[in-house]
Amino acid sequence: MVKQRGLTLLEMLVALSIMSAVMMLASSAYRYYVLGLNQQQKQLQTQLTQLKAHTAWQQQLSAAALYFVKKPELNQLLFVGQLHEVTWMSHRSVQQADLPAIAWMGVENGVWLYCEATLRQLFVTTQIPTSTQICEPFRQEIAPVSQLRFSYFGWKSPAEKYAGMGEGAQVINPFKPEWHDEYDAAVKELLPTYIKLDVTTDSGSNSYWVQVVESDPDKIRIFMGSKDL
Amino acid sequence: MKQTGLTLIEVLIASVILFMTLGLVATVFQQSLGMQQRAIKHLAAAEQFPSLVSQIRFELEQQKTEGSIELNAQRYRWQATELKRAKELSSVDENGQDYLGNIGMLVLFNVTVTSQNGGTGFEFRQAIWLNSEV
Repeated sequence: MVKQRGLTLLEMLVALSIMSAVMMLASSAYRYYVLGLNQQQKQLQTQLTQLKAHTAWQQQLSAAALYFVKKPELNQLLFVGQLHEVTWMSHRSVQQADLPAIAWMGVENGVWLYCEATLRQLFVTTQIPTSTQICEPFRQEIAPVSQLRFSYFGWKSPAEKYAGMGEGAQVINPFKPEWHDEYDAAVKELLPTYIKLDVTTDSGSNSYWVQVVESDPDKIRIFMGSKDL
Repeated sequence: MKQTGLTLIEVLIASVILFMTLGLVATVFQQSLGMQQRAIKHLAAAEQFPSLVSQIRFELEQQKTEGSIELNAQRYRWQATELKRAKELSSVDENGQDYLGNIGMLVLFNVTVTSQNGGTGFEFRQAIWLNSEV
């Protein structure tokens, strides 16, 4: 009989304990990895939705349109910029890109809201609808906030804006656009050029800037015929 | 009965191959993790681009050429260098000369935005109408 030599119990125990220690280390590392991955996935998801929401309202606001409504007897521009909310007409909508929409942005119950109703849902000819009416077809929550504060940069009137523009009147415009707390286009007969939005949350405050493309001075010069392309 | 096991060399070769595969798999995982981290960072930056560009454009129109902006706990510094400027040609007389004042000036800027605390920087070009006295 050949003498068979296996491992002694002691050797076996040592080997097993080393192996289990390695396994434990490896498994905890793996667990951490999986947890981190999950967390990151969630972070990516929230970042994506946030990006979508922020891009949407910024695009909509910058696509503010020169849209006229019939107030008592006159045709007047629809853009009601107030200190804590704004109502405007946009060239496109979030729901359907090729449809213009009336939009509203403000705070409702501590939540920063963007609302819109496309012209198919709410055709505006006379009365400017209320925020509740605009929020009925579509609403998007952007973030929990304590306050939104809008400032509007623009001219006081078309006369001031176009002074010094156009053929034969080559003088420097003595008027300058300035910041307003409120900007009602029906009174000003213009859209603001820039809109600044100060957002106050529990953790701090942020300032977002939006340029209204419709009142781009570059575009106006093309309309006025004084710019050769 | 003759018992044959694995020789030391064989065991060594087998373990080297095993560790090589393990290492390869680990780097793949690591890379995907890093990629995701970078994607998150880029998304956070992308969220701020439109606002940053609008604000910089506003300040360029106010005849500033540098500044700093803070947004979502990110600090940015921007600097604009002039690349080109052209006079606005509004009216031409019979000799092909512009006979009016030439007040408008179109200036092309190259704007570099750098993040002060580890965010993503970017660069863009922006044309701005200014008065020629500037």
